[in-house]
Amino acid sequence: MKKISLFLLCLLLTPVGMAQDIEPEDAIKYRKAIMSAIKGHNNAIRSIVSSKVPFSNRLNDHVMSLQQLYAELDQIFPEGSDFGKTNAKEAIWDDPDKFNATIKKSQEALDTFAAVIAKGNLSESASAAKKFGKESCGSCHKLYKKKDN
Amino acid sequence: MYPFIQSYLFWLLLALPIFAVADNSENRGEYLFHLANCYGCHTDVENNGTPLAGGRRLETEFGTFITPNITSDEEAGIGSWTDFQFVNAVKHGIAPSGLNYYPAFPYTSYRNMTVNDILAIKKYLMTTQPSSLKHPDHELKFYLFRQFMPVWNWINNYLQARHPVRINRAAYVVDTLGHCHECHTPRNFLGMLDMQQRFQGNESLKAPDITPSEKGLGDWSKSELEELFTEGILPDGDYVSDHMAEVVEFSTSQWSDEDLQAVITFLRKVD
Ligand code: HEC
Ligand code: HEC
Ligand code: HEC
Repeated sequence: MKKISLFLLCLLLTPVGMAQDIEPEDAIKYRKAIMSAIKGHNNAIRSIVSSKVPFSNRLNDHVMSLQQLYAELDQIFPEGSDFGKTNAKEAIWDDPDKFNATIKKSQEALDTFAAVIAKGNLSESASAAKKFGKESCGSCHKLYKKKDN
Repeated sequence: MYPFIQSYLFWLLLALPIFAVADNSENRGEYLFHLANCYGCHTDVENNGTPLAGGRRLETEFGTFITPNITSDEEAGIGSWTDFQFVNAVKHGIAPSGLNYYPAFPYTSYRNMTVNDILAIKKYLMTTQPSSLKHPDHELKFYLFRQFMPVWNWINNYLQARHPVRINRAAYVVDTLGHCHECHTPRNFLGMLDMQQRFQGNESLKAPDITPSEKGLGDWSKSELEELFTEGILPDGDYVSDHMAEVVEFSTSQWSDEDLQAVITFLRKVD
């Protein structure tokens, strides 16, 4: 009985959609799609806060989408997706703790950014957008992304 | 050898009075230090290393260089170096022992730095925290020896002499301090910059063409270049990666607005 419950416990603790089931090529394609989506929302936010386009009523939606995509960051780099058509660096899998800490910092930078945007001041948001880009996208790419092959 | 050394001394002496006048701005050394990006190579940034204590592994096709400690520590760093020794290292790639440095230390770009500026950097370095960290030797290809470097330098100087140094503030920031050629200009089989293809990109480093042509920065607007150098964002909304991300963080994002504008005008100008 004890053995069985231990087995059940293990089953419960196994993450849904285990990395092992995914083809590496698909994992990479998915990851790039998520990054492109992140880029899309970030670009939209940057256009709005710099007053290039008047859609400030859409700002919160873009921020929320970004937050949802960011919540996925710790799942789009499964073990085994480190080769092929990817610009992700080995360092991601060499030291997962450090990578996870970088993800966490990126997410915190987004929360800080979202809080500024929520205040509704466009010029303040514009400088916060720059800071967010550097601290989040920029610092993760510095350590973990390489230039296109 | 004698007239060689004499000429350095000559420069040094020549420069000292100007140095005394020009150095009244307190942050000048620190600013130059950022422009020359001494920090990135001499700090093990990937492992949150002590600033300037070295230990960064620079992987190249000639092997792996492990950068030295350049903190103010008297034993492990440059704390006990004379001004002359420091200028000789940064400008001419010659160590206090008389041996030559490898050009992974980009003295080939820094050689056009003014002695005043080099000494201002030294002055700034002496204010940094000392660290007693020491590092193992470089792990280089078997055929590389310091003893070959004078020949290498001789050939390199001969080749570079055919390409006149560009003289204006922006060129000084880009060619000399920023050592942008070291990555963005292709090299010959001896690892020397091919200045005939100035800024046309280096395949093996994945550094793109940054000439004002179609293949390079031809269709970049002024504000796109501003955003790249201050924030690291590319025109399509992607952010630059490893090498250039460091150059942006430690160097170009620290440029004064005046230098930034001068560099952009300079890079966009066909010459
Ligand atoms: C936690 C790390 C991390 C964060 C944060 C991050 N990225 Fe990325 N990004 C990567 C990595 C790693 C790759 C390379 C993925 C690959 O090629 O498999 C990448 C790739 C990309 C790509 C290229 C996608 C493709 O089609 O090849 C774009 C565009 C991009 N990121 C934009 C952004 C933007 C914009 C932000 C911030 C709003 C951001 N990223 C935040 C790590 C990150
Ligand atoms: C591209 C990387 C890079 C940059 C940028 C760089 N260095 Fe170095 N530096 C090196 C390497 C590699 C060596 C070791 C060379 C050798 O052993 O032949 C070195 C050696 C030195 C030395 C000799 C130290 C010793 O113990 O003998 C000094 C001093 C020095 N660098 C100062 C500087 C200063 C000052 C700057 C900025 C103006 C700078 N470096 C920028 C890579 C770099
Ligand atoms: C250590 C190597 C290195 C140095 C030094 C360096 N770069 Fe770069 N640079 C790169 C790499 C690699 C890229 C590509 C980065 C990417 O897209 O992720 C790049 C990209 C660029 C781009 C964008 C080009 C494009 O088409 O996307 C510009 C502009 C640029 N660098 C200018 C400079 C200038 C100006 C300097 C000197 C201040 C400089 N770089 C110094 C390596 C370097």
